[in-house]
Amino acid sequence: MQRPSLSPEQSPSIFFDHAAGSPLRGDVAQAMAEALVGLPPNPSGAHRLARRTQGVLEDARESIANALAVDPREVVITGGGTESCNLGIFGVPSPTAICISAVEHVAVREAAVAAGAALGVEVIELAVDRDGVIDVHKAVTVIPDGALVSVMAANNETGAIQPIAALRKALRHAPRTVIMHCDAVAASPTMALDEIIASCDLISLAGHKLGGPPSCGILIVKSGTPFRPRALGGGQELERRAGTQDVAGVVGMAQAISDVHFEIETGAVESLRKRRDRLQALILDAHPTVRVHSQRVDRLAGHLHMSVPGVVSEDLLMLFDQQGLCASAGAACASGAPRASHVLIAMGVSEDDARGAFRLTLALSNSDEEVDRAGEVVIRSISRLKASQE
Amino acid sequence: MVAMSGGVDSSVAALLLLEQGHDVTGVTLKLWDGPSDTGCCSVADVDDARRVASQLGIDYHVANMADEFTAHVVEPYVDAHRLGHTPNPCIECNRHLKFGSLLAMMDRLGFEALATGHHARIRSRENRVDLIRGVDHAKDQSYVLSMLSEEQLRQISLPVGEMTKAEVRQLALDRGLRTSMKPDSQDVCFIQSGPGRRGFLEERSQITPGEIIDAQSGEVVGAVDALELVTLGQRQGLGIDAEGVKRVAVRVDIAAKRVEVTTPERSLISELPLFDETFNWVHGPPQAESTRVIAQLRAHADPIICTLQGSRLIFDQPINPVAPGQTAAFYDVDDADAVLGSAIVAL
Repeated sequence: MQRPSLSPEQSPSIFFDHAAGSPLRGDVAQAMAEALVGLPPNPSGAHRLARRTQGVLEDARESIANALAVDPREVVITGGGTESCNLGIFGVPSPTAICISAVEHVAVREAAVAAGAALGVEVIELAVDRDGVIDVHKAVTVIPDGALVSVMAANNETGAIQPIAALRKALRHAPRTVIMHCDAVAASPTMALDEIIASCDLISLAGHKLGGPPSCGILIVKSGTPFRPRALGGGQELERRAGTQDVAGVVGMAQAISDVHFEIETGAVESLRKRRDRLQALILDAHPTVRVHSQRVDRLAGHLHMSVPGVVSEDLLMLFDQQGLCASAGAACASGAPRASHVLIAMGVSEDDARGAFRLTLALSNSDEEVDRAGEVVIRSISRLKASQE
Repeated sequence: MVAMSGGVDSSVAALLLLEQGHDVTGVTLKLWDGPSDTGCCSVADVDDARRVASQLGIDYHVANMADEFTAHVVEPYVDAHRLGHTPNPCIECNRHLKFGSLLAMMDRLGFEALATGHHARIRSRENRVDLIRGVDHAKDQSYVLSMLSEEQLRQISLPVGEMTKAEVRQLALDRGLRTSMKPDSQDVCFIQSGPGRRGFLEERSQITPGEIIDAQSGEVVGAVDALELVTLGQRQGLGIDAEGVKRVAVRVDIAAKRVEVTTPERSLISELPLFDETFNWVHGPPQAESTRVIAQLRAHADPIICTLQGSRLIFDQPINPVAPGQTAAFYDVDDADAVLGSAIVAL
C-alpha cells in the first residue's frame, strides 16, 4: 500500500531547535568581523599591536563581567560550553565527594564520573521528582561537607528550572561548606542569571546557545574558589586556562550576552513564553494523550518537550523533517540516533515513552506564523503515525 | 528509503535512485552499541553515510534499533553457540531488522520502497516478483536475502545488483563519493578483530573445553579449549590422525564436553536435515513431496543440484558436512539465478 509523502516539495524550514544552538546574531557577526581588523590575533606580546588586541579582549571581558555582575577577573574564557563544564568539575582540586543532579547534561555527568574515579571520591546522584526538579531537603541530607555540587540552572531537554538559590541557602543553613558549580548553558538565553551567579562559585556558559560563536565558552570562577587548570601551557586567563584566546570570539560573546541581557530585562522573553504556550495548547487540543514533560513546574520560556505514546522519536523527526520542521529528540548518541534520555528515565518516564520523546525549542526570532505552521506539522504527523498503528 | 551502512554499495544505491529521479532519503540503522572495527556500524561508518547523503543532497536520519538487534540477532547468536550450532547473524539481521523493523518503518512513513546496496536483483514479470542473483556472481548476496517473502520483495529495490563490484566503485569514484575506496566490511559487525568471536562469547556466555574423540573407535585423541568455537565440518585445529590426515569435526556435544572427529572421507554426508519451521518459499512450497533444487549452503559456496524431500536435502554425491544453524538457500533448477526460498540446517 502506498501513501503519498506529506510534503513532496522542499518546504521552507522552521527552526525550532534553538536548544542545540541559535544562528549567529547579525550584530554579533558584525562585531566579530570588525574586532581585530589590522590587528594580530594574539593578545600576549611585548609590542603595541599585541597590547591593542589585548585591549579589545579586556573590553569584551569587562562587558561580559558587567552584564553578569561579576568581577572581570572572575571571567575565564574557554573553548566552549563542554570545556567550561569539564573545567568546572575537574578544576576543583579536592572535593570530598562530587554531587550532581540526576538530570545533568552529559558534559557534566561524564566529567563528574571521570573526576570521581580519578580522585577516588564518590559521585552522588541527587534524585529528581517526576517533573525533573531536585528535592532540596533530600539533597542537603546526602551532600557531605567539602563536596563539589553541580546542579544545572535549567534542564536542556525539558526546560525545568532547578532551585539553585534555595539549595545554596539550605546548604549554608545546614551548615555545609560546599563548592557549587552550575551549568547555566541551557538557561542563559532566556533566564536572568543574577540569583544563580550570586549563589554559585563556578558557572558555565556557552556562546552558541546565545546566538554567539560556538568557539567561545565562559567559566565564572568566583574569587577565593580553590581551582586548578586543565589546559596547561602559556598560563593565559591568569593561569586558569592556557591557550591563545579567540579574541574576536570573545567580542562576539560579549555582544551576544549584551543582546540577551537586554531581551530579558525588557521582558521580551514573555512573548516567547506565550508563543510556546500557544504551540503547546494547539498540539494538546488535537492530541490530548500527548505527554508534556515538566509542564507543572517553572520551565524555560522556549522549551516544549513531549512524548507521544506508542510512537518512536525517529518516526516523528523524519516526518517533521520532511515538512521542514527542525526539532530534536532531546537525547541522541554519538551516531546521532535518538535514545531514551537519562533525564526522562530519572523522572520516572517509562522507556517506551522516553523513546517517543521530541523537543521543540523556540527563540525570540520565531514568529506566530511559524508557531501556527509548526503546530499543523506536529498535529498532522502524530495523526498519521497513530493511523498507521491501527 | 535507502538503508545506508556507510559502505560503497549502499552509497551507490542511493546515487542511482537519485539519478533515476526518485525522491530519496538515507537511513542508517544504529544496531550495535559496543565497539566495532569491521567497517560497519561504528560512529565513523555512520559519519561516512551521513557525508555521502550530504554529497548527494538527500535527507538523512539515523534510527536506533539497538534493542531489537540485541534481542533478535546478538542473543540468538550467543544461544546458538551454547548449543554447538553455527549461526549466521547477518541472515537474522536481514530477517528481523533490515527487512523487518526497517521495512515496517518505511511503510509507516509513507515511502514507496526500501532500497539497499545488496548485490542481487529483483525481477518483476507480470505480477510475479523474484529475487535473482546479482550480475557479479563473485559478489552475489542473494544467499543472505533468501529468507524474504514475495510480499517483502515487492517493497524492495536493489539498484546495484545490475553492476559488478568494480563498476560500483568506479561510479562512486567518478561522482566523488567519500566511500568509493572504502574496503568491504568483513565478518560479523559486532565482533571486533582483536577479541574475536572467542572474546565476544567469553564475555557473554562461557567457553567450554572438551575432548576430541575419534568417531569410530571412541578413543580420546586430543583436546580443544573452546568447543563453542568448533564448527561442524571444520578441519582446522583438531590435529591429524595416525596417517597424517586432517581430522574433521562431525559432531559437537557441548553438554558431554566433546567433539567427535573422523577422516574427511568418512565425514561426508548424503543427506542434510532442515528445520521444518524455518522454511521460506518465495512463491509457496513445491507441489511434489520430492523436488530437484539447486542448494547453496554457505554465503560463497558453489551451488549443488540435489533433491529436496520433505524437509531433508538428499545429495547426488556425498558432500562435506554443514553446521546446524547455517542457511540453505534454494534456487530454481530451471532458472538457476532465481531464489526459491531457504531453510535453516538442523542437526
